[in-house]
Amino acid sequence: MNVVALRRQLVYILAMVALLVPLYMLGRPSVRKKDGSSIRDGGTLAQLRSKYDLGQGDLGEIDPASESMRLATLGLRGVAATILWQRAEYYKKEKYWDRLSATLNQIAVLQPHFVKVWEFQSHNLSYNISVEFDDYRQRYEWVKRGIEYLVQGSKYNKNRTEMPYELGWFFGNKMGVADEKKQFRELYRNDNNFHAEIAEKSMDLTNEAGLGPDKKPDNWLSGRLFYERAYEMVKEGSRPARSPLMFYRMSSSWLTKYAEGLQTEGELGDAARVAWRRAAAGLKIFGDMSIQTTFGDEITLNIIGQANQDLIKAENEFREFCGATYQKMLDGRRSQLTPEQLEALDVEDYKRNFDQLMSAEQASSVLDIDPKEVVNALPSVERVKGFQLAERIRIAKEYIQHVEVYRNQINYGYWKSRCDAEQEDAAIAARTNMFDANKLLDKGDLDAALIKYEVAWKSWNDLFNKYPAMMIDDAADDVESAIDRYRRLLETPDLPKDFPLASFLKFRAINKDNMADPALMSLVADWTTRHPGRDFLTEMLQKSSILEKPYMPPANESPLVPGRDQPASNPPEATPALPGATLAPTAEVPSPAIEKKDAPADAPQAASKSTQAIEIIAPEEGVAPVPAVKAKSGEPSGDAPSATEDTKPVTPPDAGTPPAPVPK
Amino acid sequence: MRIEADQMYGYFEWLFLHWGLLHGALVAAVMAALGFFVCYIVAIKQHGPSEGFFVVTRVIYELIARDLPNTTWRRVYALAKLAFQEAIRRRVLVVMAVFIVGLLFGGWFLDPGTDNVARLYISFVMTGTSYLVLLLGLFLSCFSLPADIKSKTIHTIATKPVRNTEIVLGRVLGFTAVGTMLLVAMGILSYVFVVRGSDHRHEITEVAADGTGKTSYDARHEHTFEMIAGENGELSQGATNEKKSHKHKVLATVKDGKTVYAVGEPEGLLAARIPVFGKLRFTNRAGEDDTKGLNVGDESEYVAYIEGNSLMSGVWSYSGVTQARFGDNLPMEMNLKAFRTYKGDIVTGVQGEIILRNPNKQIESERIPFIVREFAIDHKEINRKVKGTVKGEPKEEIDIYEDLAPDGNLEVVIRCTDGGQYFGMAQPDLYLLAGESTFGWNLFKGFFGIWLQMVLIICLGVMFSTFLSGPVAMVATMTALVLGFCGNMAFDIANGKTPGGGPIESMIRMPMQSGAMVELDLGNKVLETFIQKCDQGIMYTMYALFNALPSFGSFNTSEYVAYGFDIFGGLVARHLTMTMGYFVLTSVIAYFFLKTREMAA
Repeated sequence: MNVVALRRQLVYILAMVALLVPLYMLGRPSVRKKDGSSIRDGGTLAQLRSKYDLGQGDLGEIDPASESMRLATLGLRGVAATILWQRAEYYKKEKYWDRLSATLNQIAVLQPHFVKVWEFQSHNLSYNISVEFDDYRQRYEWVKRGIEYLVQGSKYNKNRTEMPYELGWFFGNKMGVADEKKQFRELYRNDNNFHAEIAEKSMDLTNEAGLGPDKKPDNWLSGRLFYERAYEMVKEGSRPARSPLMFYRMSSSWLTKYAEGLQTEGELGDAARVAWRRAAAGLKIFGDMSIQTTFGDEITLNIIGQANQDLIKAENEFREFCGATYQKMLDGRRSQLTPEQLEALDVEDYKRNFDQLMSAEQASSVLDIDPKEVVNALPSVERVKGFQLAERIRIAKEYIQHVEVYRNQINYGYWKSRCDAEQEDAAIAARTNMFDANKLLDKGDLDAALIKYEVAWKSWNDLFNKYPAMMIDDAADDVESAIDRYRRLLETPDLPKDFPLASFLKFRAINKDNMADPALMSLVADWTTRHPGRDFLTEMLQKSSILEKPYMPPANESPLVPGRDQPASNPPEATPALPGATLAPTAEVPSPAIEKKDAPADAPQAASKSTQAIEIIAPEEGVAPVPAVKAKSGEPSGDAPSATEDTKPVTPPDAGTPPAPVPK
Repeated sequence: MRIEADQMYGYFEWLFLHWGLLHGALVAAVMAALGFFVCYIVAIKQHGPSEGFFVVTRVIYELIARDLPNTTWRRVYALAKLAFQEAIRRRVLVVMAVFIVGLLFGGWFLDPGTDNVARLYISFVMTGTSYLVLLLGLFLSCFSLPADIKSKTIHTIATKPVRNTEIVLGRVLGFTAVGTMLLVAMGILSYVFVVRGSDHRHEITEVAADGTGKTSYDARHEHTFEMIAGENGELSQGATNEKKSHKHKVLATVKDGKTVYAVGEPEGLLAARIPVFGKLRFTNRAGEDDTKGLNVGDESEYVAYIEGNSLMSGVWSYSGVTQARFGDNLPMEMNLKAFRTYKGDIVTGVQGEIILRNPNKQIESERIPFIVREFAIDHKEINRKVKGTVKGEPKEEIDIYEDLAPDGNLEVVIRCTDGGQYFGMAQPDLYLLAGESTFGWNLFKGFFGIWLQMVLIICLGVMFSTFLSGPVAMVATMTALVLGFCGNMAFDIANGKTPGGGPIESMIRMPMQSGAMVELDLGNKVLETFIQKCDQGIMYTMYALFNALPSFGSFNTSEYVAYGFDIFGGLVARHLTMTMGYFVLTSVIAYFFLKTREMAA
């Protein structure tokens, strides 16, 4: 053999071996336990992969079938997935369900870490395909398939909170909200094999936290278990699947749904009370959380009362600091008011007639002084501190505004109020007696039904007075239906004069078109907190009855709409409400809840009819001019601060003190 | 599964009444005329008009007078053997190894929780086999002859006393033999794979005193069962409910004073039902005959709907309904769809009724109520003695065979009885059941369909390889294969069903971003008309081409096997006839090309 050639070969081999050493040091793989925890960290590359979650093993379990399939496509994985996706759509169109299911599995195998595939196709299975079947048992099977598909996906995407989030949604929403929810919930409760399968692959559904009163898994609570898992994943570094508010509300929301579900199925006693107590606790945990907003700050939903007190404190400090300057400006503004306006301010909000309402509205806007104006009027040496105090007011107001916006997004106040209400004895008694009365009526035991109904009405009345929020939910619909049955039972067209729920019925009749209005919901939800001791129904109905009276413009008042001189004797005609102007001139947007005795005297929402009566322009000739009010543009009135702008409390006009300045 | 109306024709019905023979003859005649014309043009260029004509006719004469009569099976056999050995040398058995690996790991990709596991397994093995065998046929047939010609090894054969007919036949038969050998092995393995894959057993976990109970949860399902009292009152035999398209027998035996239950193998998964299909028509809301039902908004128009609690109905007409064919009871199976316009009673399905009647409408049975079962086969056994009416007069007993179908003709009427709800149906969704064939035999027929496709591919491959180089021949055969498989889409383009115009119009529309549903607007009517006429010419040519090509998709009968329908004998015979037709046609074309090459050489 040629010695030179041999030498060269040996050198090459040695060089290769020498290069292999650093290569090994760099690329040595990490050794992991089955649960993914590391036994040995491996080389630098392995450590970097692990640090930045770049390794496929960091995304989730590696499936040999998936890997071999991906290799078999020779780099054309995307093309193969696209073809399969098209085929899946064809199968769906032509209703080849088995093949669709098989094709979806193939797509998932090809792209196991593409979360949207799992989300989209599991939705297809559980929501779109299940409804194609007429038999609810077959539907249930397809709902389960979607869930199983997601469970399978969770294995490959262990750090993605979308998977448990979607699972939580499917368990709760699909099984608990669909038309066949009663059947689905029942099937699920008893589906031991399914529980065992999910336990084996993902989650122990027989966990105590997921069991209903019958000690069987409840779909809402099972869903909640998955949300809790998603929250744990976030604690360990994963990103939330949705915005923080929407993400973290789900656990408590599912607890309320669970409690509602129990009630719907006739569990009205202690089981329901315990469920609502649990929901209240869940809501409190959620309400105490610090939530990052899109405004850039962090808020806590439960802190609204404290925030308002902070605002009042800041305003008082500001007024105190500005002293004479402020008082002088206020007096100046006050001197601009007419005697009618001053008189209107002295009347309690809900006792004002329409003229007074208008006058008070105008007066409030005049008395509303921007703190910056006050600061500018201060001597130059005091301006810096004045500015700082004004800034504190602005920040406090902004914070309250953000909290209110977020609370309204998820109807937080309503659910909080509902959770409290449903734990009351009155609620249990009201629901139980009404349920029993309906049953007795079905059986034909009329006398017993009558007695039960009467007990129920009293309990409902107590409950509605204490928690007005209960008057706008599904329970109130049931009460109305039961009252209809009761009326037929009495065989009289009219209810008794002393019927306990007469006010409730009137409220419902007045607001029948506004029940889902977020402003109304927020108003009734926060009423108890905002105005302890004040009776919502009395004030609301009184105000409605005043505002329903025809408006008579004073002889010396010129019409607000030029060129529309109308005979003064003509009553205003109701005109259709403009979008965004459906509420009464006062309290159309709830003011912040202030747990304070001398809280602002904003009134409950007025009748929708009266709202219509204060619309902008009379629609036709021969109709009296209608005064323009701020409500038309959605701008809140001074004595009923809105949640979005005038979130600060205002001293009640009937207290005889000048209103506090409302900085812009 | 969808069985199209043309698949239900009997063999002779297809051959004579539905122009099968005429279509074949037309393709042969057009190809012959076209071939003659093209060859003559080529010959004119080389030899002039008179001699060219002579050359062409001489070749035809030689085929008819010399080569064909003198072809001997001994030489064909020898050449086929050579082709077989050559294929084996080219390691075609690797295909078998791929198939086995596929079977071994196939289970990983198949969902055992599916509603019908056998259907999935059958589809998997038959699709896999089909792809492998067709690819094998493609590669073997396209590259063999060009390689021989290129390496001049063809001369060692051509210089022997063999005829071109024998060379072509030898190649086709040799490659077919290789493919057949592999296909048989694949078929046997597939049978074992499907039977083993779909088999499962349950244990009895709960039994009540009344003989009802539950089985264990295996293969991702469980059954309830009910024991039936025998003649002496003992509960020795029973059956489970149907889950995942099958049920089990349950046997009870007493051992040592204790009752022991045994659950049998799954029944209904590996079926081969022999259906008798009828012709479907509808009646509209006025009760008058109509050819179509309603569309409830489905994109697919395969299923038509009838409205509940109205005079709308679906009417199936059957012939040959005799006791000898169906037995004492009349078995029928349905697969109807339900569509609700309102929630209604969720627990109870949408309800309907079956009426059997004589086509003259004078005699009809009582209304037999049923609740729809969707996406599952709903088996009904109708007692031959039913209550009914004769000319409107109620009768206590009517005999299906003697009174309703004395001449073998029977109508089955389906109505939906829930107001505001709908039933969906297509022609194959209700059929009479004329017994069961065996699964193994049905699987064999399914594989026979694959075999026929393979033969077609080999014929086309050999034909193209006589005048094209290997890769080009493969592309040509592949094109024929794709066009054959995508025949439906191509037909739609060719006959203008697909909106957006022909190829030229589409090319113009694309850069203009013009929607397919709007009229072509170039601002010049003459130009638009010219383009559309050109497109029509191209489309008619495409239409003729697609008609001449074998429709590979129609040869695929794996769905019959998967969905448990016995493949109709008429359909198999039809496919065999078509294959033979293409075999003759391609062999003749291949002969002429080979002969021409030889002359050129």
